[in-house]
Amino acid sequence: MQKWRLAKLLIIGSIIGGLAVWTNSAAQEAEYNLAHRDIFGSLRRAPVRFSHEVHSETLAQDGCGVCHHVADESSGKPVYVEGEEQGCQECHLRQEDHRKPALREAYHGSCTVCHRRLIKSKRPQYGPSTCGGCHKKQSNENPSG
Amino acid sequence: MDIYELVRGPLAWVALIIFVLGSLYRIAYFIFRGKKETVLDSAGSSLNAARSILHGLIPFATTDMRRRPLFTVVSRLFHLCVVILPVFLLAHIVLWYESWKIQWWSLPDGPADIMTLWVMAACVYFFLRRLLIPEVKQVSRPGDIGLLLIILLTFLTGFLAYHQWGPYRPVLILHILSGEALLVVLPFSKLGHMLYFGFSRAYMGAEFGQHLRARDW
Repeated sequence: MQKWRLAKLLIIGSIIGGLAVWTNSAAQEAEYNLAHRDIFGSLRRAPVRFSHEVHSETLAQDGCGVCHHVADESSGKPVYVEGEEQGCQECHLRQEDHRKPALREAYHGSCTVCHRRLIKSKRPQYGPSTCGGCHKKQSNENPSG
Repeated sequence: MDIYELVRGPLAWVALIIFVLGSLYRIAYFIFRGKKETVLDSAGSSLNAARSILHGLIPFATTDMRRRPLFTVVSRLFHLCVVILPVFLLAHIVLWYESWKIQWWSLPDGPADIMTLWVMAACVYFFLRRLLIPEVKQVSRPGDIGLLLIILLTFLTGFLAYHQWGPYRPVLILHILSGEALLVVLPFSKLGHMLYFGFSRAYMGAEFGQHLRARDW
């Protein structure tokens, strides 16, 4: 009887523990660091803490194509193709390549330009528009910006 | 309106337009208002004018510079830094690309930091000179101290914003505003020597080199 109670406790404990690990990893996936040291080498500014969840919720009415695009095969212009959403670093390189902006400029062109557009159009929710608003140094986690 | 958007957008345009048009006006003013003296054999040796400008540009090329080595080193490096830093700083280059899609080489952050510290230290040195050295004090006006303070404020706030020390957003807004103030006052104040130092050096060279045979430098 004692053994059975111990086994039950172990099973319940491992389920709770497993759930805790799963939710934690899910939370980590929802918010992560954009650094790309493999592309940029040593970073000149602090990595950007990015929440995909916050962006997809805030921009739900605008659609995924606000950020995600691929080069159109005939014109080469960026177009949104559902199901082909990928990170900027998949196409954009460290240097500009045949009118395709470099990775740094691609990020700034998407992030900063969009945040400033949201501010100008008086949307209630918008992201940071200053350098330090996104590139927060670790010693200064909360520069409003 | 968002204050950052205001200083980053419309106010930056106003400052740039005043700076460019003001500078063109000042240069045109000097060129068209300058007259040759109506005397026989008036001074005006272009060769001496060019020699004077050249000597003014080369460190320690003039007697005055050799007599005051500390001032020459502080001042020369200060001038190099205040011109190079705003043009080649990474943060500024990113903003220019964002606005105008233009881009060039950027200064590494470490040397840029040291250059900024040099500019700030030089501002304190210039301030002390205006306060303590009699011949400099005599020609100093409150506006000269004001100009030094705007320069110091611009570079101090830029330094603080880069390191994200202090309240980031207000410091950044103050940095942009003080930079814009500098652009606006530049053509119409003593800072205008950036535009017309060549005219005064050319005049001195032409004037003194011709008749007095004096190497004014």
